[in-house]
Amino acid sequence: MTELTSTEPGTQVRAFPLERGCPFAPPQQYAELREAEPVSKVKLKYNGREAWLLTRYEDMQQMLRDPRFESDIADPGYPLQFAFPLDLLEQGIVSKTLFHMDPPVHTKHRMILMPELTARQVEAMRPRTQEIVDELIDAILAQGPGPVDLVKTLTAPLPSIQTAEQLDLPRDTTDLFYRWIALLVTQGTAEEHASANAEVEMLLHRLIAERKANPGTDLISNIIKRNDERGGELSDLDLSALVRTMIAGGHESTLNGMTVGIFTLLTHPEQAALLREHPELGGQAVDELMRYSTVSDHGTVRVAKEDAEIGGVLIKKGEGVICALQAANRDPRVFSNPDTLDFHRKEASANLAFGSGHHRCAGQTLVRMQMEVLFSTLLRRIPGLRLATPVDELPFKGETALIDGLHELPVTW
Amino acid sequence: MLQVVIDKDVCVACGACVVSGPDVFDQDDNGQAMLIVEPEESLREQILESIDACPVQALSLVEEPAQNAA
Repeated sequence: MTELTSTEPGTQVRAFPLERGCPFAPPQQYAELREAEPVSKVKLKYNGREAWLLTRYEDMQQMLRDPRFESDIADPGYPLQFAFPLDLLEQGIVSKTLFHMDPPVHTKHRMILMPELTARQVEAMRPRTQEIVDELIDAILAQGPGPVDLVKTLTAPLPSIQTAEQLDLPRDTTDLFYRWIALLVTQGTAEEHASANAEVEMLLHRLIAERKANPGTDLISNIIKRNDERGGELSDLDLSALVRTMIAGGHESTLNGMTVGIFTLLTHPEQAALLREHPELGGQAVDELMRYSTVSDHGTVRVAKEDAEIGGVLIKKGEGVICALQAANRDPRVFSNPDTLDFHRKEASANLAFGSGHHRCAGQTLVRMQMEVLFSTLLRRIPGLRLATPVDELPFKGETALIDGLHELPVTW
Repeated sequence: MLQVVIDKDVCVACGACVVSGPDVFDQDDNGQAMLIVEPEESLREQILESIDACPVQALSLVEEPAQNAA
């Protein structure tokens, strides 16, 4: 019989998130932990609670596919890493988003949204994505040889414009959504959370009421219609939570993935040249960039609803688990020479940047398409593109941010 | 002859199989995985890649006994 271990006395409990040496590489300790202690105890810097940290690819795959691990954010064992406004959930002011639901409820809600994000729907959006990217690059080129901040001029507007068009959002709502999402992925006071959430919720309820009265062809109208066709089980609060999921995904995580992706291309000129000469490698390049520069490292967490063994370690009921996705995506058991960026890498698509299990990113097909168009067009249209600031002076989104990124990416050509 | 089984109770409509196996899979009106061809031996690699890519293990490959094999 296999001996299972729980918290052994004397085992080191590390403060989490771990210290980053270079902000553009995974914490060095991930590699050590992956070999020596792949399931280790950490103490969250946010609230001092303990949780388990997984650093091996296989262990994360197994855990994320195991129904004994749930996403219930209201569970006291759930590894919270920022000031989530739990009281708004308890008071019924906002509904849980897909991120924090479990089957069968999760399945019911997710399947109202997913028909909007199929490969076919996304392909139909490709020409418009190309048009937006071309217009944004026209405007960049018109400014002369820089320096130009690519966050402000390209990676922030692209997903935000496309999400606004897909949802038919009023133009003046962008700032509100940015403020709300910035709070979602960083620290913030309870009051700031409550106020931004209330504003977002009021706006979305107004939009849902308008689209019920005058349906259009936008995503909000479509999910209202689909919900009605399926018996109207989702309330307006639930529909609003689905829309919030789309908006959150369409802003912070996508924009950071795009920004860090471009940064990685600019600091790997040989791979950038390869992609410029072989645009047919676009899809594979996006997968490899997602693997190599995984912006969402430790936001993928679960809580054990029963005792369960992962990687030979007993996780007890009520204990939280954090996936270090950057560690999974550099696991040499799955990716040979994991610290090398290689657009010819066949296994790149196995990366866990979009998560796994039933919470696998709902927008992954859309994000992959947008990134493919963005990277290939940028390299083709501005072939001399380079950083305008030394790497160590780039304003990295700090350790408290749940998603890696850059506040600015100044470039010249 | 190969047989691909899609568990629609499990499929979360993420579209990963369409990316890995574009000649084999598409998504139906619900977004869930569907076959677009009779799975043939020549498509085995794509099918296996899609099975690996599926985050919820909704896909499986059943080898049918070759009844009329020479």
